[in-house]
Amino acid sequence: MKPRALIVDDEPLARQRVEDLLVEDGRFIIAGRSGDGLQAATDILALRPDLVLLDVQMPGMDGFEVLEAVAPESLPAVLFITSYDQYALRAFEAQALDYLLKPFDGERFRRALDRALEWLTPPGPGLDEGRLRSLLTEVAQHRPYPQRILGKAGDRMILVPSASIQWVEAENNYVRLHTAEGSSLVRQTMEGMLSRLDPDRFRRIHRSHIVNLDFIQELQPWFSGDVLVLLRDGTRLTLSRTYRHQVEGL
Amino acid sequence: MATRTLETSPWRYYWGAWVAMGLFMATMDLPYLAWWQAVLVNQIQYLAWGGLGLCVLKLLRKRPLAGAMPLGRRIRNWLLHLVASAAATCTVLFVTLVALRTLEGRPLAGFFPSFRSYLLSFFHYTLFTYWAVVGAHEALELQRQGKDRDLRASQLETRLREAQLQALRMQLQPHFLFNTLNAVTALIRHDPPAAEAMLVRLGDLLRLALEDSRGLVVDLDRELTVLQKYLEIQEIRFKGRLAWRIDLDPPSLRTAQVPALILQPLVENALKHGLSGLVGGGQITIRATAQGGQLCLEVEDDGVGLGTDPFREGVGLANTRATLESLYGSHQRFELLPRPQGGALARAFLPLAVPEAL
Repeated sequence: MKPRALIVDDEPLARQRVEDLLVEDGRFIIAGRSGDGLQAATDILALRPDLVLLDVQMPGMDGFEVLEAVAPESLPAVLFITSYDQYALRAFEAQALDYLLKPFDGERFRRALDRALEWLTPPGPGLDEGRLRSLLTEVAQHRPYPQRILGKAGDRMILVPSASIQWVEAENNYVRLHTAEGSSLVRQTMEGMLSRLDPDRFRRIHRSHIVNLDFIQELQPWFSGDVLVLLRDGTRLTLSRTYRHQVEGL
Repeated sequence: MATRTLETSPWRYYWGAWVAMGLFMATMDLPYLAWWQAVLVNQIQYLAWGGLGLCVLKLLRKRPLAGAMPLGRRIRNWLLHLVASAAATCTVLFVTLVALRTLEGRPLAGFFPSFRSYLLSFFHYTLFTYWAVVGAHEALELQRQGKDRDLRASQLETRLREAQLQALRMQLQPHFLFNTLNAVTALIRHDPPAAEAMLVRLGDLLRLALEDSRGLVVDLDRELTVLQKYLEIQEIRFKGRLAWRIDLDPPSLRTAQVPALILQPLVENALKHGLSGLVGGGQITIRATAQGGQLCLEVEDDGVGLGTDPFREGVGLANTRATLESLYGSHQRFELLPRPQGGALARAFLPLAVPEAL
């Protein structure tokens, strides 16, 4: 059974190029083609490809954001493709990850596929997922907090604008993002979620609650040092004593 | 320490000037008074002026005499300073006379008749001291404004250069360049004529961009040619997702003078924010019209609109504003508007300059 590859690029001709070379090479089956970041994240989660050929610069949600969005659930092997982005190149070099520079020829492309196959075929070294994760951590440190977060509403994937999140609730292995429109689930720990939200706006007020300060209506003293946090839509949350320092000095 | 010196030195000069003035004027009294008396009385007189001078400066700041203001206000301020100058002169002369008579050992006897004759002899020329303070203040102020203007002018100049460099970089953007080359590698297999067309357009564009470093202002025709090449490339890249047109009305506007690369960032912006997010693609319209003696340039897209994207007005548009401002000052206008049907409209008005041809 041949491994399956997903092609991600916002430009039709660039997708065509990758597809041509993949077909010519013959070692992979094409699992799908995604024309933007949201589509790519949805496709990765739905199609579970073995390899993603990922364009780094895309409008809206770029390649790194796509990986960040799917990382909590699954990280496929990734072959990065970029035209020009010195910052991204430094990040790849630092993690010794392979990448393709546009334009590339068939020979260079085949070498990149060779390496990808080594990860995928036992008893190869396997994909070093750790390196990919440290790449994302490194990239995240140098970029603003993501403006959108990919969540699951029912069986659909949706992009939730970070600023519209009113509060976040822990739910087993997931966190639930509450917005005015409804709620969605993200496979993520509370700590993980907190690291993706702008601390100027979001504070943890309870073991299982993060709140967006913009949506707080008022704070009322409650029993035994706890504080009742009243949101504008009427939601009542508790600010527990242990997290009190989080909202002090606001 | 350095800041302290900077802050205190103007005041050192200020008081130094008054002391020097007092010493100088003391020489006039040497035939009539002992030298120490002459020095003492004149120091008292000019240090009194020094103190009053501070009030004059304060008053000048509140009620300026120079600069733009309504006529009524100007007249009121002058009247106020005339009265103030008379009052200040009387005060100083009063203080001086008290000092003088104290030295002579008869401070009060027959003071007022003597003050009257003192006023009559010295009022007129002492009055000028007030106006000398006013004059010095205005001179320094003018000098400072001149420096500010020079600084502003050079800042504008720098911004203009930056804007042009930025526009040039956008045109030759590595991202654009490499993506175009990458698209050509795909086209070579499936559509060789398109690959050929793309390489030729890219060549044209590079040539135009390299020549563009000359001159701040170019023919609209040339500007539109650059855009045309650029859009032809993007059209192939976005394969049927991009439609565009250039309207020129009247056609004689071709020779109108426009800042080099003024439209490029607007089109780039329309493409980036307006269309790229649209799966179905969109339309870009570039329009040049003459309106009431002004040249109106418009770039319109039917994309996702301005929305709440804080980056919609990014570096490119800030540079466009800076370029227009430094070239045309207040004789230009630039706006970025949402279109009611969706999408955005960038519009610039600038003076219509057409070389003799018309």
